[in-house]
Amino acid sequence: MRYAIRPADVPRIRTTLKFYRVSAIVTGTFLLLLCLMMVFRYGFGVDIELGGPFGFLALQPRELIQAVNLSTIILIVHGWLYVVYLAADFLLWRYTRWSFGRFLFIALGGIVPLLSFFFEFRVPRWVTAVLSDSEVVHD
Amino acid sequence: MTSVSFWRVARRPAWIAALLLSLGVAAGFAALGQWQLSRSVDNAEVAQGPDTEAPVPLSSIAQPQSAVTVPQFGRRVTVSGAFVPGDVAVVTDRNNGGAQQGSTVVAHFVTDDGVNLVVALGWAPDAAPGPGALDQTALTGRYLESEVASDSDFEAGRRSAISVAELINIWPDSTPVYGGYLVLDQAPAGLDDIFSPPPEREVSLNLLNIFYALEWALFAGFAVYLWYRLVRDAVEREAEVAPVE
Repeated sequence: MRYAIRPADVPRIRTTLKFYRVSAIVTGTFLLLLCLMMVFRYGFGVDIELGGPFGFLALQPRELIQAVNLSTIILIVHGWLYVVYLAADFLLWRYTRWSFGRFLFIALGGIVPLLSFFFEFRVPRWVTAVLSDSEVVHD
Repeated sequence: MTSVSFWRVARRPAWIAALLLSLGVAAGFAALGQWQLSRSVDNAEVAQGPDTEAPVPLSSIAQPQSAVTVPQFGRRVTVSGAFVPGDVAVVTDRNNGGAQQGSTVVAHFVTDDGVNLVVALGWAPDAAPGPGALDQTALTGRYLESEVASDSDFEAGRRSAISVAELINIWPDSTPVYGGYLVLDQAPAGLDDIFSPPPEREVSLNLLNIFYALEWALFAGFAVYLWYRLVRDAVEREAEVAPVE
């Protein structure tokens, strides 16, 4: 059984959806960078150095990096972007009153590469469905 | 909605099971956070290196004719052998942990294996104390890196650095030699003990691990909050379906 959304939540849903889509794109991009960085670190034993002596971007063993270790920065930034992404997911799930399973499914977007790009265009459709349902119920 | 109805729903076996599940997930997240914290400390311990205060034979950690490495630096070591009579030098402009300048007396020691070693015996506030008879055969002290003699000292005819390279030039037949020098734990009579604290090694907490620990704590709290939220939802849905009470 579906539960109708609250009329007061309709503008909140629209705002949160915008926030969610931006978060999905940014987090998804950093997730891809994270994959790239993991391949370099654990596949080839090198990290990405930014602005070091070997050029703007250079691949160096972790211990030899003197300038900015971009690989570690990607790790940290992705970690916190995922927190933001989860917050967006949570708010959207609260307002739309979707099932808990869908909340968990959308949460996977920050962990499974490319999944968040799929959600970025799929979630708006789900939202549209919820909003059109609510117009039928409440108007 | 009242708190009474919240607890009535929350007490149901399915929601208690869900609570146990969310607490389990939260405990798992907390354990991951703990692991990240312990990793941040472990990483610091790796940087800390071996215990420097338990004396070990010098020959077991250092090779003659090679420079002092980071793990060797500042370790307390033992050597046995004999001093070379007459091979004594005074190094000036030395403080001993305080502001007062004095001088350090260094001597030439040869181990049982025939390896030469510079030994800093002790410190005195006045200029040139006369060394007593050096008859010890077993020494315990801290192994430090050779200092670098400066050109200005050489030009001024002074010696203010304990430089192994410089000292072996004034002491005949002094190769092979250890790259560092030994600071005696206990100075011979007439000299003060040289101030020689344990080495300060860089302790850098791994910030990345601490940030991850913080994130896991956040997720753990969120897992429990989600349970609360889901129970509230169930209560609200029941209220919408059957608005009694």
